[in-house]
Amino acid sequence: MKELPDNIRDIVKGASYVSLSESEKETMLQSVLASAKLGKKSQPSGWQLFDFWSFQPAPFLKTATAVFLVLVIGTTSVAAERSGPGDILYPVKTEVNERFVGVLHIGDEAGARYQVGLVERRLQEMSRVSLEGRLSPDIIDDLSGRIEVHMDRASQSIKRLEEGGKTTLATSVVSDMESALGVYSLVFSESPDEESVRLSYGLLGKIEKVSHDLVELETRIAEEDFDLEDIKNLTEKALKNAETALASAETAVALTVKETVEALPTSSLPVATSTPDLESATSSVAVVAATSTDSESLMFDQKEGSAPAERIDQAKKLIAEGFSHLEQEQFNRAFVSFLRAQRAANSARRMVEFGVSGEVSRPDSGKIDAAEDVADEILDDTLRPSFEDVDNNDPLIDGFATSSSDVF
Amino acid sequence: MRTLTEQEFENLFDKYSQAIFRHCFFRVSDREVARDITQDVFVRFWNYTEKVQVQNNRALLYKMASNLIIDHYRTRKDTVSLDSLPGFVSHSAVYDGEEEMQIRHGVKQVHRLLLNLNEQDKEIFILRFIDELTLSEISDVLGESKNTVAVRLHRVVKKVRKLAKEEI
Repeated sequence: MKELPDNIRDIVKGASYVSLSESEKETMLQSVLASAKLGKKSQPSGWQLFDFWSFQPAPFLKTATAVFLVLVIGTTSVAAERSGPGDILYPVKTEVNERFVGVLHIGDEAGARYQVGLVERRLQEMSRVSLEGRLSPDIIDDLSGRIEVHMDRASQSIKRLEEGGKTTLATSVVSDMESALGVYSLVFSESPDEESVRLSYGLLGKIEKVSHDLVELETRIAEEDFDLEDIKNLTEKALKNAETALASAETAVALTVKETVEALPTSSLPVATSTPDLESATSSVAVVAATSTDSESLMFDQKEGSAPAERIDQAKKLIAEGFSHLEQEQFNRAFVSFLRAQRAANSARRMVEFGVSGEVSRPDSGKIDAAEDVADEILDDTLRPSFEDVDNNDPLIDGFATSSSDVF
Repeated sequence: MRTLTEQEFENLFDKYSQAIFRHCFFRVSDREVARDITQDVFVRFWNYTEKVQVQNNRALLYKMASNLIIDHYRTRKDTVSLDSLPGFVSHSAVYDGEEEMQIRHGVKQVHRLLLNLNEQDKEIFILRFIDELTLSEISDVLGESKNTVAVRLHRVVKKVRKLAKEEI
């Protein structure tokens, strides 16, 4: 105390007047002992329970409030996930849920892929709204703005990947974005309403820019001087990704064909209903698609027609092209080929998932021949063994390395 | 097995409850809140001593009080007007009118002084000059070295000296 000035020392002495009364002390002691013996925390006094103005609930109320809030927030968050543009909970979905999940995607690659995923999510929402006939200029503007934001964020992460020397990763992300945009552009272009068509034109502008970036990146990869082991590893990974995407696309096509068969009137499917296995069912589809005149068969002809199959075919050719580059030890080019194959396969899968034909107008003639070709194609693809098991039997890769393990 | 008998606990309560209450009162500026925090401190202390042998009971009690006061501030951010300070003297004490006015004035002066200090300075000032803890005990309560505590106290005293010159 001696280090304090006299006047302060005098002031501090006044503190000693503050005290508990004897009765307060006794009551407090009994309360402490009672609480302690019960194994509880001290009993809250009356003001703590009901002092709403200070908003300081007693401990048990805190727990109850916390549980209540968790339930409310959790329920709102889950409900918001099912909301769409124009719904009350939609802002919770985009501004709370997605931002929270976004924080968990650490690193430029994860961040960029997440943003690309959100671009696709916005496109899906547009597609759903379009199908419901609710696509208005306001919704288009709102979602287009959001897509721009996600694309900008993705571009920033992609740029950082490039600057960090991770050109291959950057290319892979851009490739995925291009694939998503391309398919959705088709989705909207095939929609009958004018707003959707207008939207598809808007997407075409975005695709053009992304495609331009992609070509630049692929050119850079083809010319880049990679460490041999690095590019071998990258190429092996790209090959696996392409094969996975191809298998996924083929499965999507096969499943859709099966669903189409089941959806068709039984009277038109004498063969399909009597032969449960997929090979026969798919053959039946070919027959039905080629001969039936009902609307479902026309839909099959158009929706599951040449475009997805062509893209799958394209993916196979690109994989074969990649193997060809590997034969010549052109790993950079092989990497780009596998990346393109993955893109083509992903596009096919997305087209099937969204029932996109990829054709602006339905062919006027040659329907039966086309349908038979499609059916044959699907049949071959469905029954074909996995890529690693093909070895030299597949003419597309005949003469090249038979599997990734042989190559590396 | 308990490290403290009920009688020993009651003795400790009798010895330190007023000081802990006073400490809380000047930290939170509210008699009712100070009373509840004091009660919580002793409940926690009782539970803690169920299995742990405490070396310095006094320091531990102040440490628990400090933690509960921090919890209090996390949930409540209001300020107190000196004119609305609740009753602070013992209810059983009997003072005549003039004496009580002087006491009230004295306690308000302490509050006025503390209002000029930030929360950290206020804490260390109260521990040293109102609760009269030693440097070693303050070091235990705050979890800081004695040197750090000494330096912080020196700064607070310097600040208070300056305030004294400005006639708070």
